[in-house]
Amino acid sequence: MKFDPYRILGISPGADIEEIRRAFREKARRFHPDLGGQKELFLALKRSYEILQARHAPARLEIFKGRPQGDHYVLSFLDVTAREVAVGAAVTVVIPDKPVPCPHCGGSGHNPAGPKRKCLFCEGEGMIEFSGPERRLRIVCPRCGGKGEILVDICPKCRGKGELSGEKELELSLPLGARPGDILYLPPGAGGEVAVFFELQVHPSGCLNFEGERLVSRALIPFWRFALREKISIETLEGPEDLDLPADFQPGQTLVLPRRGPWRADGSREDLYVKIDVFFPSDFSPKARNKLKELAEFLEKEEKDAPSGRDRN
Amino acid sequence: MGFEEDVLKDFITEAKENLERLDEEFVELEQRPEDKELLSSIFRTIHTIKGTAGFFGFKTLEAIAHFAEDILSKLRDGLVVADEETIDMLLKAVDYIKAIIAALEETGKEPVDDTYLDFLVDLRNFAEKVAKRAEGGGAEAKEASPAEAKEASPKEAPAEASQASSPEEKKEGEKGAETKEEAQAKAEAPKEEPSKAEEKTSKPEVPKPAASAPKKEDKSPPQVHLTETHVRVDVKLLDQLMNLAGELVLSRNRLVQIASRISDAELQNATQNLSLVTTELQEKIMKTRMQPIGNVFNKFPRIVRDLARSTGKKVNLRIEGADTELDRSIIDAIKDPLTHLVRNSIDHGIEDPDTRVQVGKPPVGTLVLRAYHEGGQVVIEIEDDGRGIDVKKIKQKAIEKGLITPAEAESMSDREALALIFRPGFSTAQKVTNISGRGVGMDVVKTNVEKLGGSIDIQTVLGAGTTVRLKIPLTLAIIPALVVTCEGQRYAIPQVSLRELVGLSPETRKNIHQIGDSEFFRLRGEMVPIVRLAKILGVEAQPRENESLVILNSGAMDFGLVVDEIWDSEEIVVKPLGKHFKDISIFAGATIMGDGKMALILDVVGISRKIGLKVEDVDRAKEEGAQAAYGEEEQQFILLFNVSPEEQFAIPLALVARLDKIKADKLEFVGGKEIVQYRGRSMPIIRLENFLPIQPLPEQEEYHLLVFAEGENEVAFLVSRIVDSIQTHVKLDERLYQIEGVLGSAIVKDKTTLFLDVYKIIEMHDPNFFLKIVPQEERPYRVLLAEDSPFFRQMIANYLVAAGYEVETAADGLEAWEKLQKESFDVLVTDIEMPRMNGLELAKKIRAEERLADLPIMALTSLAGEEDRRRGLEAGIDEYQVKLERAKVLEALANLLNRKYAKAA
Repeated sequence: MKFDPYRILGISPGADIEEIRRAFREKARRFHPDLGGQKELFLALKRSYEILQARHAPARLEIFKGRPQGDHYVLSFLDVTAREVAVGAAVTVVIPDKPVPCPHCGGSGHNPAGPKRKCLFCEGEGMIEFSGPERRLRIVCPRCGGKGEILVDICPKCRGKGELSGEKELELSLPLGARPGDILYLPPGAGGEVAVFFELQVHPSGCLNFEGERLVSRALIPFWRFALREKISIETLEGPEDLDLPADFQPGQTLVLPRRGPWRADGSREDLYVKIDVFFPSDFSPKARNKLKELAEFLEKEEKDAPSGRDRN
Repeated sequence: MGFEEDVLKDFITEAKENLERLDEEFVELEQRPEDKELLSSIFRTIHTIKGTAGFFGFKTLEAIAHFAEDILSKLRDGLVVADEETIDMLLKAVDYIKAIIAALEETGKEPVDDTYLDFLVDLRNFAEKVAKRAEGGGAEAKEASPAEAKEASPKEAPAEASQASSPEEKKEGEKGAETKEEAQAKAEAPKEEPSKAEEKTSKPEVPKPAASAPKKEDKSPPQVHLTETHVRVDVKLLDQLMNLAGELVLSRNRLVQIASRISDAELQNATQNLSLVTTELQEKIMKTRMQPIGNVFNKFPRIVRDLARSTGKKVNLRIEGADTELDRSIIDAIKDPLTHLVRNSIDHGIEDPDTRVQVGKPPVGTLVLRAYHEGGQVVIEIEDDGRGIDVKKIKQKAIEKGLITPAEAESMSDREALALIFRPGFSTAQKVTNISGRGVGMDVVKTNVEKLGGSIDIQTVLGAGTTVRLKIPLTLAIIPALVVTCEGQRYAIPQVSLRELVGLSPETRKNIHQIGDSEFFRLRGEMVPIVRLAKILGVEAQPRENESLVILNSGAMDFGLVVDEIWDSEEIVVKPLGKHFKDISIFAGATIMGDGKMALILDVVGISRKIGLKVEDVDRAKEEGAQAAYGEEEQQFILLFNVSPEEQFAIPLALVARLDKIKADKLEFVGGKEIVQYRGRSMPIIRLENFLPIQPLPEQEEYHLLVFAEGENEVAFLVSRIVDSIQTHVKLDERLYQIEGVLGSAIVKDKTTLFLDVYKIIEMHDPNFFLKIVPQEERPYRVLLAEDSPFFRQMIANYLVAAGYEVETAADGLEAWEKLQKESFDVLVTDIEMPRMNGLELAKKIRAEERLADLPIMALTSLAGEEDRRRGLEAGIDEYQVKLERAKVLEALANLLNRKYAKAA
């Protein structure tokens, strides 16, 4: 027989957590080994209680290692942004729920609008007659339920099942430390009927995106600002932020904001990486072009005049 | 399969890259043994290898990676420090992993070599040592400062371990001496490992008082337990055991039979005991071969994810009943068919998100893989909510591929068209993708499933989705069967195909109808084709009093098998037939019975094929029957026969009580009447040429009899040949032949056919044949008969007149209404389905008019359902009858008139 925690605690499967707790306490008192109870029995009680406790615990997503398995489960996916993953944001997930009767056929599984045929079991009578030696017995035909006819086509909506799988939405927090491609696990009982595995599909949120395991914020700035090492604005998990470019910063290098990146499972934070792409306009107004030329000539002249050369890092 | 090969290639490439990096990282690790970042990275790499190895079922690789990961997790969590010995061990592990990967690349298989297992044992023991050390270190840590603990633990931990209390140490010793098998057994159960590893790693973080030591002991036994309760056994050995158990079952059966003959109490007891033990043994051995189907199902999350990604579709996968168990040989065999079906569902079934939204579906498709037990079989369903299968497209494709002609396509039912999918070389994909549609599709799937004794069935609704249902036997070795006999030989019929049993007594034999060349049994109104086992086996059958009819189901249709006797129901051990017999399709195998004699196992599907029962034909007949019942045009089963070869006649089959054959010498001419001795009585014979202007019956050795019955009275038409029985809509031409006894003519099967008025002819032959049950007053009752079909109108009118009524006819409701206005009638008998004004409208109209409100109304239909009755009653109809049930109609009509007019009087 399958291990049935409800049976062991002596409660009905519909019992709420209070009832479960009460039943456990009461039984535990009676069967505690210190009071002369059987050890195995007590362990079974304890295990039952733990199972049910877990089942009644508020739904929580866990990071799952390994491949999904179990008797019944659903493999779904979660479309989330990099920011949501990084901060463990609350997201809405859709999980399977108890099946609902098909609205089209009302649960019969047959198309009520489709063709019908005579029920051959009762010859269309709707009733079946047994004649015995003493009395005659008339019963409603079990095949057609007394209608005398049978719907031929299956319901196109539920395809003969009479029910549709239900769905429900849950507001859940993404677990800290999850990364793109991870599989998240929602245990059965916690929210839905069956265990659900979600594959995390992460999309960039604005300038923030995961590149490998790293959370990278990309900024696109025009070359002159880069050249002047001016303050630039970047996107962080805390919102937009101004950043001083280090004087020796060169294109292609990565800036690191320590402990400003995604959270880890233990509550600490990883680093945020900032990558800066420099933007060169391909078209200048004649005026700007002249000025730029002027500047270029000036800079080239300056370079020539200082034969030792400038420190270019 | 190609797909898994691709994934395997990816895996190997990826693993090789990772392993290269690992080498570098290990070198670094020696310099910085406590670098967490570095340790995490190594850990992740090993973890990935373990996961993928698990996915492909590479046990040794998975196990090595697992223990290496175990050690690394302790290092990463800072519970132990990576010393030279540890790093050495890990490097060795990496070397072994490399070697296995190399072998995989070359052969696709793990190398089978003892050195790997030897190493695995070493690694495992080492991992345990590290774990112990980690525990020791952890316990230390709460007292000493963390730094101290880390320094102290590596060196001191082993010493500590040896000092630890004896029970644990002993276990340690035992583990050390572990055999290869045990290590492998452990490797085979890695599922449970991670949780244990977690348990261990988390332990040191929770400060524990010294008194908690006994509790630790509580937690460790399961691990010891695991290694000791699993043993690696060769599958071949299990197969042999299963065979032996089968032999044992046979011997047991035999012994039980002998014991029941020799009534000896002691022997009985011993036999009973043996019987019990044998059954249990057989069940247990069967269990060793049982595996959860999850072993296959659990590969699909990954496959589905990859497929969805590569096709740009969004798919939720739902797995139900992964714990459902079935024989391992079957599990192996269904892996490929299932993979193919899942690919099909995603590739052809589920639409891309945009399309789904356009047709009002959620953008995410759902694919369900479901397994459950049903009547000794396992049902596996692959269900998607995609676009369904377009039968038109299938037909078109089949025409393009030259599988069928356009004319064939035209006449094909949906079900037949769906079956085209299983034809070799069929693929509906518009373009061939790398996922499916390679054209080596469903035919292979079907063949594989049928090889297992299973069946495959597709249910699809265009636009709503497709369900493919596989029915597979639980095991192929021992099955419950019904044992029947035929001419002294016994045959076993697998009980899966058994529907019901019918004893053939003289009473039930009346339900057997000979139509053309085949026999049918009327089973609760359904015509089930029947066939004699003796005929199939080609043995000379002796006529018998009591036979039995076994109603069988061959996949999609029922048929009956006439056997001499039902012997017993028994568990039989299936033995394959030798190769010389493999082409005999009616046998599925052989078995040995309790008395040591052999019995052949009948192949139900093979028999149904042999007798030429086409599933599609029977289905079409059923479908047409169903449609006809509610269609506007009424269809009738018509019996076609000849008197002389040139002329074809027809009568409604339902009027015939029996069909039979007689030898010419059985005919007698007595007292001016031609009679035949039939079932112990004299039955009058009607020669049709005596009443109708037709060619006479030629002299024959044997004639056919069409027997009609009315109460005790019986009479038969003598005819030369039964042509056929067909279901058709009768469009009768009444003008051509205005002869008494002929209702009219029609073209049936390209021949002008005369439809005979059976009642009229019988009445001409013997005016007293039919019982008169007219409630006669001073004058005959006047009946108004409204019926649109001339065929029925004339027939019904004739039998009403024969019964003593005066009959006026109307061709539809409106005409009847007009006649009712002009003349007066005692009763209205009306059809329901009529043009211009139907029976219900007519009834309502009558009831609405005061003068006619009390007119008795009887409705005649080709069928009478409860719903019809209710509607009829609402419209004011008093009585419902079925047209061709003459006796009932007359009786009910008499009762109705009695009721109405007795009340009035």
